Amino acid sequence: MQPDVSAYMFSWYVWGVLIIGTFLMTLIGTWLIVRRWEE
Amino acid sequence: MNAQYLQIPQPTTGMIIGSIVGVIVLLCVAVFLGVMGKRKWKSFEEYLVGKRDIGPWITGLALTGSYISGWAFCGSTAVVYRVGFSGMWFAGIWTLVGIIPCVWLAATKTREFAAKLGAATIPETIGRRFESKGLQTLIAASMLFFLFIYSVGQLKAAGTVWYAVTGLPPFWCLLISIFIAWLFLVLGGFVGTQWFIAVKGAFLGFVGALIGIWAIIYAGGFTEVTKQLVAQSPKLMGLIDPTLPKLGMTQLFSSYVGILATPVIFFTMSVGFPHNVSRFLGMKKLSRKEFILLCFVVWLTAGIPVMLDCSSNGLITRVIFGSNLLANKQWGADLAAPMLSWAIGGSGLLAMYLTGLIGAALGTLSAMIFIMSANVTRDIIKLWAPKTSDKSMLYLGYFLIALFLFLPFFWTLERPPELLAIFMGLAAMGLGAIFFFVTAISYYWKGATKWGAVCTVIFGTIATLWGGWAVLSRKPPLLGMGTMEWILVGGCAFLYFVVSFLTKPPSAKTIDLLFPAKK
Repeated sequence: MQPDVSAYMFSWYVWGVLIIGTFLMTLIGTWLIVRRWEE
Repeated sequence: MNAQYLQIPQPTTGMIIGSIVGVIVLLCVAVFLGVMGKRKWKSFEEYLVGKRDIGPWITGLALTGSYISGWAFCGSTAVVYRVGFSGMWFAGIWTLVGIIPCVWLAATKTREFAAKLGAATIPETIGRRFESKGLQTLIAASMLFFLFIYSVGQLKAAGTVWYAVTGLPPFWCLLISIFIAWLFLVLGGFVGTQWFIAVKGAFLGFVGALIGIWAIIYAGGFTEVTKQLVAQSPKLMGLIDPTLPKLGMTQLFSSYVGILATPVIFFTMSVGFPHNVSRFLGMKKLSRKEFILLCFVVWLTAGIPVMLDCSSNGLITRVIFGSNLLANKQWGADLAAPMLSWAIGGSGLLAMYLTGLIGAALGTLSAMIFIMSANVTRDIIKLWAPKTSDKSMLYLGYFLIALFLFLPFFWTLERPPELLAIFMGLAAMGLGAIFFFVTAISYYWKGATKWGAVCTVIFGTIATLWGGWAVLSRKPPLLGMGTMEWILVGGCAFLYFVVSFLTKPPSAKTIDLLFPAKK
């Protein structure tokens, strides 16, 4: 009997959230810093 | 060996020639950059820090290059291959949670403080920030201790994989590599080293991303990988593996106390690592656009490649090789990353991977060795005997670089530390916990005092030594690695802030220089 793969996909969703989340963190954090940049 | 899965291949002529050519090219690039770097310095000061005119591309790539060590490029895949998805927390999925804040918090401040104080090293910057020669010496000694421990394991992965892949003893490969490293460190100084680490960082970013994306496509995508892993053992797909011991290193995979400690480990270690923060010493003053570029370069080269390397790569290796690599008593899971590159891309990709791995080990090692040498020459001898000539310091530095390169080489061949990841892991935790506060927080908090910093360094060093015994040496372990991280970071934070509140900050002159009032 084949295992129900969908029950095990949750880890990949967490993985994807981490990849996207850290990208957004980089984007937003950098924007917050350069917003008040003194040249 | 399970015949259902791929077996470890015997070295072929193509694998051997490809690997040798790759390493020769890498070493030729290193020598070239060392020779070019020689033109960029004329004094001991410039040898240590250049002319503080390096732009965001080279600085960003060098940060990636110093951060991605042999462990990140080899050990992280091995952890996930061995324990499954639950290994990714410790293997580096939090890379960006550390390395990007390192840029945000330390890049411009390190450059600014060092330039204002005329400092050429991190201990000198912090020593002058707190107006304390004693603190500078203490920081230099502590860095030497931790970086030595951390440097010991750097060549092991490269030596192991070289032998496993080519069948050739690693002696000559490693000896020639460390000789070339000595040559470009001596010739190129800070600038040459920065360039070499940057070129290596760009190469690692490219190879890491290539293998990571290629492997997912090769394996048939996420659903197919999941199906195959569940067929082997459903535990491999769990984000936590409660069946593993909750004491010792495995706490990082088996308990929420351990898993929650992993982002803190990556955050403090990336921001606190002296060989990371030192990349900013020779940086130019950045404009807004250049700072954005710096963040982008680091995200692109250190983020995605390492995140794939530390998670999906280990899982896909498990899909392809089953547990066959674990059956190999000699190298075991350390072969996960090289075998994956061979399985999906043949000898060509394997040669690229091996070149990258040796570059990773050499680059991180070079960054550390350069600091260790300066710890002795600039932060201890020149500090207490300022009349010592720059020429004497340079020659002593050349000797120390040779010594500090030789020791990890010798230890790798004669008495290799068995648990590469763990051995370096605790030194990394200690370095991170101490220097996150002593370096990064000191850039922002006017109220910090030298006594707060001194107590933090002493506590962090003793606690790390004790942790090595309690977590790694004692059988059974007294506590988990995650708990140890909380003790380290909590203890350092408590002492740094409480002792600083109770003692006198530096003079108003220094504070006004470093923390000018906003217009």
